[in-house]
Amino acid sequence: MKKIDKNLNNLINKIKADSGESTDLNVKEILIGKRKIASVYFETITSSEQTNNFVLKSIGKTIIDEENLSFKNIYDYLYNTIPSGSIKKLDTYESIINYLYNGFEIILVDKEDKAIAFEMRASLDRGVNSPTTESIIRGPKDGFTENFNKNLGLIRRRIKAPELFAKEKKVGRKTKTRVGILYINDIADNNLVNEVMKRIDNIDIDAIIDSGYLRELIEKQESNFPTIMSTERPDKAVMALLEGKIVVILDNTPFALIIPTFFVDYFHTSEDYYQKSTNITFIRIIRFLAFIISILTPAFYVALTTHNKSSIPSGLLINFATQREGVPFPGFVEALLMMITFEILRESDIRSPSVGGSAVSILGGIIIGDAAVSAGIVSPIMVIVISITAISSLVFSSIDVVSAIRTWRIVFLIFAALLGIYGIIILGILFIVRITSIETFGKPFTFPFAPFNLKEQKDAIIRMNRTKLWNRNPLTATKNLRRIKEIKK
Amino acid sequence: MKKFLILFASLFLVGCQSYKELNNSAIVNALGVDMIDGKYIVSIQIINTSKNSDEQNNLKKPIVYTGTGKTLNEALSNINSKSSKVLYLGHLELVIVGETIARNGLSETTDYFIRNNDISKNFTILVANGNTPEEILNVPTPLVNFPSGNILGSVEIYSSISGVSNNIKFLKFVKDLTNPGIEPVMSSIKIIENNNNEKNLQISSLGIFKKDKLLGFLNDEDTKGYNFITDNIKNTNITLITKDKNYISIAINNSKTKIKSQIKDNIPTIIINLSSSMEVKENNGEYDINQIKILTENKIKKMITNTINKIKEEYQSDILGFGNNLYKTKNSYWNNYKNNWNNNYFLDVKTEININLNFNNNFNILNG
Repeated sequence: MKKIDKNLNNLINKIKADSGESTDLNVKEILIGKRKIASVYFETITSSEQTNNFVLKSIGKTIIDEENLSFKNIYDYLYNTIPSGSIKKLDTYESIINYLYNGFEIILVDKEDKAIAFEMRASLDRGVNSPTTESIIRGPKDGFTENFNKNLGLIRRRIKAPELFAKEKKVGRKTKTRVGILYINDIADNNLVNEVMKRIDNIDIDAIIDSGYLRELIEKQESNFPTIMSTERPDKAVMALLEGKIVVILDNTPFALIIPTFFVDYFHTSEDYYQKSTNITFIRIIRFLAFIISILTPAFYVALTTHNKSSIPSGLLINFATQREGVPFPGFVEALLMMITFEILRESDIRSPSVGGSAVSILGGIIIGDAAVSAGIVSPIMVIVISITAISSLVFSSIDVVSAIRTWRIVFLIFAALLGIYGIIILGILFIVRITSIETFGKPFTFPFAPFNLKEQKDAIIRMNRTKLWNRNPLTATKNLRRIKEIKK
Repeated sequence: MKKFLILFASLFLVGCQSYKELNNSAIVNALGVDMIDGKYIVSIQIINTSKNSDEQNNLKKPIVYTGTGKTLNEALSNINSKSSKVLYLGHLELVIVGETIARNGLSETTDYFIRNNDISKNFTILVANGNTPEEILNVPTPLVNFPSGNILGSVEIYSSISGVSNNIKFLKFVKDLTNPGIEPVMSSIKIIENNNNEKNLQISSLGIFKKDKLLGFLNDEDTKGYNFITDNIKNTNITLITKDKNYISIAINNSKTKIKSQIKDNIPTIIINLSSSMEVKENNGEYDINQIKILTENKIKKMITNTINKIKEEYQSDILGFGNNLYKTKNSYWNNYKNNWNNNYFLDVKTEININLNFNNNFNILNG
């Protein structure tokens, strides 16, 4: 902790030197009576308009006549006259630097070892837009932004109870990213909150650019199924909070983290709770089906056509055989080829600028769908297999789940090519062993299924009417388990 | 951990044994077996999976390969040397046995099909009546993509709507062959030629076996009788002739037969209870419906009696399963008389036939 240099010129020079003479560092010296005062700020992250209008004007107006100004006088004047919510008195050089780089305006006074900081942050973020990655038909359309305060605000606007606690930590030696840990105190499990805090405290890293950094650092178990969900939707975050889960929001990213996340959560969307329950049950079954289809279809196709031909009806086998006639590759290679092509197509579609994007998809569609088939490189049935697989995997909005499915799909395909349906069954057992052994912050990842909990089945694959969903998830909520009082109809 | 790894590794010891690409296998859908001069002649019908097959020509010519050998296996490997693809028997759906080999005994053929792991045991088995299996498999069929599908369709439909043929699956044949007190049967197939010399296939009457040897064929009327007794008939048509040489057409629907047995003075009586609904399809009004009912009942009764008598007199082979019924229900009697059942005691079995018909639509059209 260094003291503030009493010589104003020296101090300004030091600040300038430490910032490497950055172009956006703005220093303005004012002489008031015999005192020299300097206003220092970064014009890029501090609102110049506000500094001019409020601080400099006030200084000019209110302190003009005094002869022997003490620091206390100046501080009092500014404190009383300047319409800024946050005014801080600074004692150390480090704190000056800290506030300066956080977008504060610093007032330095000659011959004093104290400084004043005003919050005059420039707003560098976009407005609240609808989320781009998790679209729904019916329900709120606002999404998180890159601004920490806005994100917190979007949640506060939905939960007006004082029990919503927001703890802030700064993570990253260079970035000093604001990390907010939100939970509802009279629902959430304190042990879980402490565990999350501890893990965040233990992080020692130079930078946190996105919540993806944080997630990887606090996730203990290596598993390709994500045990922490990230969401762009405030309503989803609020639902998680009300389940007793912890939501972590970060500055500079619109993706909040939900801790812990169970396997079944990836099959639920926030829209599920805005629509009629019976219809949603059907859609959820479809999602589970899509999950199975997208993992197993290529594997089953290869197993059936190469190892277990007797397991399919003759008519279908003849159909397959006719289509495969003349295809030069083994079924496994054909499937792999198509899968890789599809992934390339998908990746290029995401990465390419939107101007050229449609050209990529049209070209890809024609090449895969038509030309490759008529050229005899792939069979039409394989196009169907890969398309249904790809479409099924896109049911999930979480890119992590899509990636996890893709990994398992390829492993299943290899096992099917080696051992047929026998191999699929072996790997199926290993797969179940694997995902049931995942723990998310000490809780079983596959919760309402393994370990089985009958009460929680009300909102797992089926969704019962809201009047029946009395209880919060007992694994995450430890207090105030009852969600709903009995409704008399 | 080491133990676990060894255990885990053992899962993969099976290797890629069963791996065979679809492109490299020829799907055998039908197989014919016959015997000439003590040598097996095996013909197989392969499904044409090539895309370039001439679709204009709707008479699809079947792909048939034939091979001979001292054993069935040898004959099949002889075929394999002619075909560019590996024969795949997993989808075998139809086996046609020649009359010669059937009359000489099918035990070796049956044994081969039971032992072969690749073959599913649920295929339809037919006996060729008059023609060789190879000739039958070579008949082109207009309706269905693969020729054996045509035969299979005919067997199934013919047995379900007319009751004149039976869709006998291989497993049923083996069961009847091995079970006590019952002898196997098999539907037969023959080629018929029309005036333009176009060949067509027809499912014809039932072949009667004694043990594994073919004895002869029942005619259509007797096949119907057989199917009434063994409860294999669902729907059939019966034509009555009146005194004035008019015809009355009757449809029998949902026929059910139950067989019971009684033993009196060491002579068993088989009681056949047949209940069914009937419909009058064509009637010129000479008889009223109650008379028609009695006539129909008598006709069916006569049909059944004739069948039983014919089987007893001509073939002495208990294909009706009377002995099997006694084996199941009157075991002590069966144990005493099971030896030489077909040639001796089966002929003494008395039968009692009860027929109970109901009308589906018993309104008289003309009189309102």
